[in-house]
Amino acid sequence: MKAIKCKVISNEQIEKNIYKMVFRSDYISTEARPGQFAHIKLCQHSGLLLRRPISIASVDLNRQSFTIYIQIKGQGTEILCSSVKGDYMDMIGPCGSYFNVSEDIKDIILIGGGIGIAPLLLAAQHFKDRNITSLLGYRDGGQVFSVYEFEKFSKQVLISTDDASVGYGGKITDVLIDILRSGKYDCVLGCGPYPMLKTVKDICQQNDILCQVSLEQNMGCGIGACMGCACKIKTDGGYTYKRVCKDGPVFYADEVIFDE
Amino acid sequence: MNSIDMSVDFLGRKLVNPIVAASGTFSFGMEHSEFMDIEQLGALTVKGITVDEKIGNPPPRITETPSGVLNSIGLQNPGIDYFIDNILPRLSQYSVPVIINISGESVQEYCQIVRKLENQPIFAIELNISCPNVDKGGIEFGTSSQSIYNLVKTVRKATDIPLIVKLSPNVTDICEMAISCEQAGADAICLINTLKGMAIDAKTRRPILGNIVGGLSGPAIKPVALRMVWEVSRRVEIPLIGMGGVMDGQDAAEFMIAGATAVGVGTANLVHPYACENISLQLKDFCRENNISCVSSLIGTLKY
Repeated sequence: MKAIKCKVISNEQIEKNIYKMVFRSDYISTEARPGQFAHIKLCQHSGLLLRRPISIASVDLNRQSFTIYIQIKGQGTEILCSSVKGDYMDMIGPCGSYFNVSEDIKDIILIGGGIGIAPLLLAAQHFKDRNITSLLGYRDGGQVFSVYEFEKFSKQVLISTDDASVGYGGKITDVLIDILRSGKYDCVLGCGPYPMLKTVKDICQQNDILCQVSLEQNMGCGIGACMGCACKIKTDGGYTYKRVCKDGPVFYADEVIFDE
Repeated sequence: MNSIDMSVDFLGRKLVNPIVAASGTFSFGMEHSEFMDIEQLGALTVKGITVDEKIGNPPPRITETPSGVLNSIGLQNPGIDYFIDNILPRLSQYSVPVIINISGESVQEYCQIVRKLENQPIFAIELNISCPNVDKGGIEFGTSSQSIYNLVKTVRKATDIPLIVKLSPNVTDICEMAISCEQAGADAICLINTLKGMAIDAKTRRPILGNIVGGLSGPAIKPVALRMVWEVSRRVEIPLIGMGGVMDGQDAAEFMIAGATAVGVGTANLVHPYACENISLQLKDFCRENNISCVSSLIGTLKY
């Protein structure tokens, strides 16, 4: 983890409200593990102080670059997306824990919802030598992104949209139930909204399958100092709060209490 | 001007510069030490410590407001015993003066912690009587001059370690609180802690913070902080750590001009992990550009 300035190589709007940005960085492209994020500073004069944690979605070791996807959710992400080729952006990275999958695990399901799909792309790239099944859930046909990239690294890719305009009509977690019924898998890696992740956790527990999830939370420093980004984690007698930025963002689903 | 004396005398010690990492934004220094040399700090204030471990408040605990940050961490910390056994030994390997920020739910709890810190390698104790994010203790001590006096007086009797009191801005008359601290035997005053605030999501009609209310920090509160430092500096003799929205060297200079001997940096540590180092370098540049040979000559020099 370092504080560095990265040059924007490209920035394109790929779907409604979703931008794909590529940055030059030998360090982050080499060091990033799936699930980790870059903590990105907005431009100096925006009046918005805090950095934005954005998942690293893919790396290109030859070009010494990495890619992120940003969904515009507010003023901060809008400012980030307004960067242009040649700009330098101040970031800390790669930050946090990552999807840690041992060598003997061969059949991996990736399940993502919305912009939470982004970090799973790096997982697909990283674990491409295993058997990857990617389950990608989108709100509607206008939000579908990076499917072809998942296809490069996956044995199969299944898509759902809430409005049934592309792929299965309904929730991507229903697709997870279906494929767990029909096949043998060793682990599930998930990222997306909390209600989705809670369902993923429940399904994996019912099927006795290992599951790791990547969490999102409002974040302060991003390096583990301020305790701003808490998530509720089970302990022997009850629960405690851990740091999403440093102890996470990736946790075993069994430890996470999804009630807040 | 080649050499600028950046040191300040504070509580009988020469700090290498006036920049103090503020409690709660710097944890116990270890995370930031990956990004900067923590020995370049004037002093380091650790995250608030309580008698027992505290797990803190439910998330979300932090959000952004115009030019500010609103937090409701709730003093998450491992407790004084764990701190002394596991964290302080690592921290004391550095030469940086360490200030221990402590909070209690009663006068007895403050005294209990203070006694445990006796003979430990620390520079000073900072009594946090101003945390807006806990149910008991914290701010409730800090909003009545009588309870401040009683607390500081009792803790003063319990220890000879230098005592700093961190004041809350959520009071009618900050000077009254500061005078009580001085009369009760405090060695210094740190001001200001966060201003109580809240943020609401109009669409969902829900508070953004899990704790509903939180403490506001950052440049948004700087004018309030400067005013309070200036007012207090005219009414007490003991030195001040001034803080509230210090983001660069010029901000630090402003606090010294208002009357602070040292300058706390808080929110900026969340933005840049090397903020304290930057701010101290910028303060030095400020001195160079303005033909100031000793940074301490800025203290309390407001012209009006």
